[in-house]
Amino acid sequence: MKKGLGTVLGLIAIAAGLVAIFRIVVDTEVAVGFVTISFGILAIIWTSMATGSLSKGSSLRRHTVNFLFCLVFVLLFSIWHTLSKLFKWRETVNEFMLYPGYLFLIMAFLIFVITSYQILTMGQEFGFGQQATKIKGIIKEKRKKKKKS
Amino acid sequence: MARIKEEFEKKLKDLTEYVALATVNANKYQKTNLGIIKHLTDKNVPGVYVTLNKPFETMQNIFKRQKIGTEIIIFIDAVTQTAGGDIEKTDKCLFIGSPDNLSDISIAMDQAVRALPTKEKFVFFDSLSTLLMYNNVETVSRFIHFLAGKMRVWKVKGIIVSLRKKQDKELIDALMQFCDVVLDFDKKK
Repeated sequence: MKKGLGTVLGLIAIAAGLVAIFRIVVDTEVAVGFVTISFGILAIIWTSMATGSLSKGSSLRRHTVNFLFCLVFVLLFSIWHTLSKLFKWRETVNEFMLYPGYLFLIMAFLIFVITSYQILTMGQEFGFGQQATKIKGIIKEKRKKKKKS
Repeated sequence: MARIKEEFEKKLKDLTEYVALATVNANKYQKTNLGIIKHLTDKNVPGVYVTLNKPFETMQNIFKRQKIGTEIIIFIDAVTQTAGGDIEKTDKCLFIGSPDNLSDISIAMDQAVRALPTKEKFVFFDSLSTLLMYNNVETVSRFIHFLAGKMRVWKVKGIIVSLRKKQDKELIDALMQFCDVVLDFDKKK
């Protein structure tokens, strides 16, 4: 009951925050930027907390660290993009001011690929599907033998 | 073996799933472990054997000598040193690389238990005393609390083995509250 109430209150708070951002910031693109930055920071905080509680050297911790780097680069892209929109860097400074943002995005996707490969390996290592099928066959055979005898 | 059967009959007869803390005498440690596994596998119950104490190969040879079938057991070995301490997998065993890598041990156990095809299954954790050599008391206590909770979710016959040593006594006493029964194989008969 308490947990349910907490979730409802949390959702109301998030909705109120979103409404406030869109009211204060008139430019929709900048407002969306602020929203993504806030969610990005929250994601980084949670991921860092998870990293701290996992065993050193574990596969899950390594995966979490990689995921953290992905999040950092996505956040950097969001920050760069929002600032560029807010201060109109493209018009006032230089067209090339867009490119660092894209560089952050490329880095994020590059690490995403590495992280995905890592999760593929983890799936192969921690997956016991083959053994389970073998065990199923052995148990079936043993039961058949028992019935016959 | 008779003592093990008697202890199982007396304390676990009516239970299909449980979390049991087995305290073992250091001199009879191996014999007792083998007895428990034999008792479980004779009934055709598949399971997961987590070894922090002896390497998988040694365990397999011992099982073979005692004519205990290992075909229906998934082994998780956290004692054999792997290259670079990384995870390695063979047909019969998953090598974690280090007994202090509790995160990977937990994931491996969860995946192995959930993969087992039968309703009735066991988890044998060998042993609490070795875990204490690589981790501090608080970490071990939290891990066993987590493991006992998981064993209930998995609905397995869970057995956590511990040597009854003077220095582990306090921890064992504290852990008894998480377990359904204590199988005392330390008593002299």
